[in-house]
Amino acid sequence: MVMLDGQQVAGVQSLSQLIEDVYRCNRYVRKLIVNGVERSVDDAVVLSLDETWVVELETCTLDELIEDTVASTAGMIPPLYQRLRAAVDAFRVGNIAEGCTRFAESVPSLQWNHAVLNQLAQLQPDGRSFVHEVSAEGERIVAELMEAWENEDYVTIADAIEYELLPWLAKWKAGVDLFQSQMKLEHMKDSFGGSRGLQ
Amino acid sequence: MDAVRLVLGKTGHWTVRVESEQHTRYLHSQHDPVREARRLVESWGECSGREVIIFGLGLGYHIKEFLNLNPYCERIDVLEPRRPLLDWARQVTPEIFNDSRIVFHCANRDGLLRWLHMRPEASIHVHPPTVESLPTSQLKSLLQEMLVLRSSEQRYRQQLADNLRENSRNIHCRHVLQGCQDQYAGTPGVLVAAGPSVVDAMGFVHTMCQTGGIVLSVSRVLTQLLNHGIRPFGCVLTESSDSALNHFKDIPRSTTVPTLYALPTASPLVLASYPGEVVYVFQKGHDDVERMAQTFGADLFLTGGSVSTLALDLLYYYGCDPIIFTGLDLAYIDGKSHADSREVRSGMASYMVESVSVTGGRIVSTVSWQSFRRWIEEYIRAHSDRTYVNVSAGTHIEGTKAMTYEEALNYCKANTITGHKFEPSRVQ
Repeated sequence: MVMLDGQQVAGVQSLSQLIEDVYRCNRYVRKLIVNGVERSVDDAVVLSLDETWVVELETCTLDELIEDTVASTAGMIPPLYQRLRAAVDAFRVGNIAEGCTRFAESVPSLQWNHAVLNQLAQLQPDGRSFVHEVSAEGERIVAELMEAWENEDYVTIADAIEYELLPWLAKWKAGVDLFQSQMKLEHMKDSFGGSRGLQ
Repeated sequence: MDAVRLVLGKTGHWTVRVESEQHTRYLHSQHDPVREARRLVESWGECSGREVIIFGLGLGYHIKEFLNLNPYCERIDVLEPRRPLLDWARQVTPEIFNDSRIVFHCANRDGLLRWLHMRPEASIHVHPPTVESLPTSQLKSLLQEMLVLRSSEQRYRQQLADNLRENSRNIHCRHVLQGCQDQYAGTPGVLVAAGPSVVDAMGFVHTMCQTGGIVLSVSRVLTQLLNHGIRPFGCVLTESSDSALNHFKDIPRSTTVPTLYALPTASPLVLASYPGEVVYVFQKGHDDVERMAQTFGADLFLTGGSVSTLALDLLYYYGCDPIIFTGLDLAYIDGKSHADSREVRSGMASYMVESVSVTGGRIVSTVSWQSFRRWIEEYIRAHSDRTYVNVSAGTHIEGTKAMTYEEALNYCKANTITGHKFEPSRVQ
């Protein structure tokens, strides 16, 4: 059984086909649940659909998808900031093992932020937005960090985190907060009958 | 040979770049070396003695901060293995060269190592980037060990105090270890540690239990022993964090477990979860614990920073002879750190070092394992009235006789004190 935004859909041959149809209607997959388990789109498209399966697909507009992503980012940055701060504190006093652990814990969230920035940058191909600027700056800092990591140079790793990565994260968070407050304003306008103009 | 260069940092402060074939490292922050130095010196805590040693001069930023924060320190010996740094530091932080309390020593690594060995460890402070920038050497290993142990102490200090306060409500006279010295004099004692090779030692440990050996296992390996039908004499717990809950969570409810020998600073949650008797073992070197031990008339034990080292002191306390080490690998065996590790390591990390294995070859270990090895070797030297046998597969431990399981069993048979009655442990 396949449910699309709460409505049962008949005659679905494959999940990849269904997802293609969603994209063709200028909508995006917000959530995909297969037999009660949330799956990523990449995982799900290779599954061959069984008639006994229960597939629930929730879609959204691009605006809603961006809003969701930005909301997740807003929630993710503060703990990431704390972990990186703890890594710096440990490196500065010579607690290398602790610093490496805290830094390693931060890497998945950092990668996630970079992926989000890349995706957002692709939406505006002119390459001159705030997102492009933050994305390029982030890549430069990560390259510097990686070089220091290869050298096991914990002084430079701490420097790169403290004086570059943390201010960069603060800047990105400020952008995210601004975006969220603008969206809030747009929603308020909507509720009074105005129009939205995100794209 | 490493090259050292004086370079200007990103904000106009001087720093030093150390270039070796493998790495390029900096000795000071390129942004704010003064702030960096302050944080380091603050982490050392208040200077407790009148005389201190600081290893690593760098450009002197941290020495200057040390003087600011410890105006009453009477003498500071600064050790630096690289001569050019003395000249550069004289230019960057001239104040410290005008201070009569500071004595600078520049010597080769062996000279500095000898110098450090002669001084009490508590009075030595370390500039970590200098240590990290040194080529692999005995000096570097010693200083890295020092850093690892101090970091660990700092991190757990508060947790130990909280645990002690919580556990003190449950500690009674009948639950503390006292007056049992030499109770099992002449009986073989077996320390079962959690190294990867312990999986091959199950038959040996089983036999030792059955023949009345005093078998003490570390908490991490207890479930594994019970699953093999082996009930040791006791299990030892030192872990202050709740993560040790995992050590006991898979013990079937119907199983009779051995006595748990636990530090009063161990996790209260883990102690409450243990399905058997708990006996508190009071550690030396912790002021509040020592005071509490005095109240109860309890004996004091050396912990050595690891659960295995405490188990060793317990076996010695009970009078065991010989004392046999199993699973005390202190090294990676086939890429594994512990018998229950899922992760298999390949390659080296900065905290990894090579050491000599029981077979005389090279083996990959870590800085902290090597510090435990040194502690055990020191212990053996100071307690040389016993025989120490190592049937583990990893690092060679000076002062032990490396044996196979069979050789160890034969040794026990041949050297058992006549007339001592062994009561075989109940094996489930």
